[in-house]
Amino acid sequence: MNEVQQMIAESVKRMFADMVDTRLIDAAEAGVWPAALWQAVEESGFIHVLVGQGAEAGNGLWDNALPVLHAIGFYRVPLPLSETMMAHALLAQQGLSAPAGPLTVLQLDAQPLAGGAGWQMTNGRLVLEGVAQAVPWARFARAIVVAGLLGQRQMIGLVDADAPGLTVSEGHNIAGEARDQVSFNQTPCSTYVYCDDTMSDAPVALYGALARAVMMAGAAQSVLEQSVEYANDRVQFGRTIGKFQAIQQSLAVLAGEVASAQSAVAAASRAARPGPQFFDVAVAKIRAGQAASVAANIAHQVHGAICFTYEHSLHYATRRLWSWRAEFGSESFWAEHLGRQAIKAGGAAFWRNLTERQSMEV
Amino acid sequence: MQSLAIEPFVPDAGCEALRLEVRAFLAEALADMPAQAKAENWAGFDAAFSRKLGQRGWIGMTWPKAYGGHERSVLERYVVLEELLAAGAPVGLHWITDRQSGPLLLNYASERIKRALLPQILRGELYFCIGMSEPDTGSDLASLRSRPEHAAGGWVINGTKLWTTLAHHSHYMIALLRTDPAGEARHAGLSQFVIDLSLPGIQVRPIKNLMGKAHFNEVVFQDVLIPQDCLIGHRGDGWKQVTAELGLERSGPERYLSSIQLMVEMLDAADAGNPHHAVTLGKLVAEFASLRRMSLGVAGLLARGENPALLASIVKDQGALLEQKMPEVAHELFGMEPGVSHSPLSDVMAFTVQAAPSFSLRGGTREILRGIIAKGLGLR
Repeated sequence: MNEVQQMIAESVKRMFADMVDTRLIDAAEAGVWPAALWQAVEESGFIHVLVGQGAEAGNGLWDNALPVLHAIGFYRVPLPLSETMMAHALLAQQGLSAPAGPLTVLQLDAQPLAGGAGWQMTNGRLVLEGVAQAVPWARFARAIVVAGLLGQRQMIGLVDADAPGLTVSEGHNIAGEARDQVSFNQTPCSTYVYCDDTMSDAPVALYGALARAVMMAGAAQSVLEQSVEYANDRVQFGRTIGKFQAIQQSLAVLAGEVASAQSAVAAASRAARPGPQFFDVAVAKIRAGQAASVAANIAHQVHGAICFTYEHSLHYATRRLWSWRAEFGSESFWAEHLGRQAIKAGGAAFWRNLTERQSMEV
Repeated sequence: MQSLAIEPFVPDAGCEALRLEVRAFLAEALADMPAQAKAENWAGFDAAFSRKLGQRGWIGMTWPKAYGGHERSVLERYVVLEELLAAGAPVGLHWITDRQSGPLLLNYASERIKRALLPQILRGELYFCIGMSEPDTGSDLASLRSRPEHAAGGWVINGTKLWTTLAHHSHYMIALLRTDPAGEARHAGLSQFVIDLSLPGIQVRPIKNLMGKAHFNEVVFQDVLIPQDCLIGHRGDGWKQVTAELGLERSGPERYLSSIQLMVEMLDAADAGNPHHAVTLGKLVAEFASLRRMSLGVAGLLARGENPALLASIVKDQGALLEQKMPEVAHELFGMEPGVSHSPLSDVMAFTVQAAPSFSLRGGTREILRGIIAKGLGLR
């Protein structure tokens, strides 16, 4: 980590280590909005960390966001923080200003209204129609930043939570995070813009995948640390279980997965200049998703029966890993794109393309 | 706990220019090499090719000019290595010499030995093997028994080394021998020696591997007299010297690229419209991309003078997993019987599936490596 990253990491650590405990997470899972925590987050300014200014817009922003997103996973922060960060970034990039308060994001399907949500231009207004599933934290959001195609052109729109025809039906993922169904009935965007060329395709999907990958790396780190600590404390057969080779071998595998996830998300964040790059994000989401599966599996096995209780805290991280690996595209979703590209390019181009892609950023 | 994130590292423009130079050279030098031979990767060997690399200055790249070296950066060397491996160049004869034996001699050998051997190494003409394990020793190097005894004019060596890769094509061995009894510390009393394999009393017996090929060997020493200054470094410090050597070489590109030819063939054989092919190979693309970042990132740390021992061990473990997964994926996707259909894919598969077990044995078994990682994590 560079100096700025370290400063941000220290700062988020002070805030979350202090304020996020299992009681707060339990309350959030029961539907209570952690208002004091949100206020602290807003005052800290971290929700703007992805918003660039002037000539430097874009460069290094995801590097700075990395310690924040990592901490959301590591401390299991039950807030739409990554979503609000992304919403601010998407709006700012297209010159739109963001409303205050918690925000969320939505990527429309390529096919408008094909069983999901879509939009069309009606009487000079951009109007949403249909049902969007599992929108993160929608019930708490003041507005939703929507990205999608209109015809061949990419647009970013903002729809207010109290816009006409918008209804939220509450749901949650297995980590108890709000994942709500949002229905639009001729719901107008309060503002919208055709994206310029700097905006990547399906930006919410791309940003979301990178955010979730970094959050998974953070949660996986917490799972590793809890497991090592437990193995050094727990005594069985007259010695701590960390002395058993079987446990050591498992934890070494877990460490390899965590290192791979951390490294992949660090690379994708560094390469996000000016914005997240498809190849690096795909690699990070795949690698972090794979690590999530292995990490949860090994950590639960090392902890034994105690971690199958609600009382033990391991599940707060593992339930997030099992949810986040599927959000914004699973490993298979991203791998299909990467694989198709690589097959089309052919074997002889494999190494050349890889070294070229990885030599681009500073 | 220490961070396990390996920061991304990008070689500078000079390195990238060198990369293109190496690529152009390889395109010509390996033009007629069949896929099956490329599949052997750094297990493949060709003395003429090693000499060509020596002429190019791509052996001993970082060594001091005073000994004929080229004083190029660690990263320039890294770029040359990864290009050689990615192209499947037959680098096996000088690989260990360039990576381990040469640097060891530079650090510890007498002036006489350095002047005599380093120039030949740099020309790609002199090859070393590493004598570590012995009969009944396996991974437990503290149990080594081969002994050098002080004698008039030097040391007399008796004992046997086992699993010594390419000893039958090597001119010298760097051997880890027991000079003194083990004390409280089991690894005490070991010392490193450089031994001329043409001396009387040495028998090199190739051991056929499971493919029926000679690759590793049993090397028997019977009253072999070597000069006094063949003790490399300090008597009793052998274990410390060996682990320092291994620690730095765990994360090189050879730790994840051994099976790359199979990836090339699979991409050529696959159908982009088949989601099973795309998903499965796409995951491998991601794993290659991630491991290259990690291996290169550790090289960047080494270049800055850091000693990322834990991260280097993790890269080796992760790399071997990928290398060994390749033939399993090839089987799942294509299911052809290896070596039967005489397509490049089938031929490459035939080598890689049989070579794969060695990827987590050579240079220390997976279990030993993971034990080291566990200690690095703070397991007590």
